[in-house]
Amino acid sequence: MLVALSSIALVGWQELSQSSAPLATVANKAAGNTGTFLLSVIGLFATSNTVLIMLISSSMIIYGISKDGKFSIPHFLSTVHEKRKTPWIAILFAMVITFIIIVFSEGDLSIIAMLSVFGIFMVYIIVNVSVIIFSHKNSNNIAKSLRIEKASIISVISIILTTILLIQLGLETIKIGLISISLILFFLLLVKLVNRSTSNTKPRL
Amino acid sequence: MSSSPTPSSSDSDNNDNSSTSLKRTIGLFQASIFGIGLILGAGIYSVIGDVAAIGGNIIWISFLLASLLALLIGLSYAKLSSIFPKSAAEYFFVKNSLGNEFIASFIGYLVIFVNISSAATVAIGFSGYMNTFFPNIPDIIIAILLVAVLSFVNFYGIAESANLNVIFTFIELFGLLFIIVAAFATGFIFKTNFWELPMNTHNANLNPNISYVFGIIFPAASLIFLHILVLKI
Repeated sequence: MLVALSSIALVGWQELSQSSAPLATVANKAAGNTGTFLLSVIGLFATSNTVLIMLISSSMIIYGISKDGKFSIPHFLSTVHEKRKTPWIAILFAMVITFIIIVFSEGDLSIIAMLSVFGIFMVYIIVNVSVIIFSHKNSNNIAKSLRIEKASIISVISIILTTILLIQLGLETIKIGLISISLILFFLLLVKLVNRSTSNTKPRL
Repeated sequence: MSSSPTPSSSDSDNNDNSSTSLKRTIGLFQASIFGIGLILGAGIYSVIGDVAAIGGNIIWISFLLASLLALLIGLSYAKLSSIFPKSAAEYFFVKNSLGNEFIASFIGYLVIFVNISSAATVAIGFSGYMNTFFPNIPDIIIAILLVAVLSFVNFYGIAESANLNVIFTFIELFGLLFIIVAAFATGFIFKTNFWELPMNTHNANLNPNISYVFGIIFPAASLIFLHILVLKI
């Protein structure tokens, strides 16, 4: 928030909104070309850092589900490399999907970005609903249920806030989002059915 | 922090590094930096312009709102992570609390999609910065090279990845501090109207009323959320 206040103070919102590298523009105002250069270099580090974090979490999640799940992600995706001790097939898989998204979007990721916000809002809502259900399942004694009460209130507030933000995405995004979600559900159902019919003929390993 | 490779409580009783399990080498410090790196990360370096277009000078309220939501979600995740310290946190939360693998897998797919598309989006953002130095190389090529190199780092080892992440996060922090110090040093921060709103003709609304103000604070907050948390807290 301090960064937001400072940036507005330095260049104002009009200029800020027209820059493709906003913080570099801000730095330019403060320290001239040195500032632009500095912030551009830092921008490189910042963006690669986020990409690295995203790639790590994607591969970890693929690994985790593949190791635990019965049908949704094939087991070979949780193979761990003998020497490096990293889930290398999951890492490779995440890399290839990232390539596909980059190439097919031709560098314009606004739709993909909107869809992923929609996705993350759905995740937050469902996770919070799970917190509430989980808390109620485990309310054995009074001291515990008091704590659980608090957790549920937090969850309810976040569900409401998330829903408000979700509505802000606009009708078009919500529509595309719902269609995509239906496709994912349909795919998952298909995978489950295929898996069931194959496991009837031969026992699962 | 949801899907950071959680070391936490199970560290001591889970030291069997058999060939099928992952190595646990990340400490609490690296795991925390993993989360901080995301929040302070690329988001603020790229999104602040788009947010300003919607919210004008009052975007700081939107930032406040987005942080509040982040905090709330962080709290519910913290409760859950303390119970299920595993990778693929959301999947296990949902699976264990609802006892339904189908819904859990659905959440898992969503989270994987969100993470991978964030990687793609931010990789293109990287190309944007790279363009100022090498204007002739196409964005897509740079983005793909970046993803390939970082996938290799990811493969090389979680400890190496975490250390790189710590270094990069401190460099980012330095950049943000620079902006803040500059705003105070130049004195601009004391003579700005932080309530100035963007007036566009579509709205034909020359007297900002409450609903108009809310109408720009929330979309702006939504956008901040997209970039700063898209990403997961």
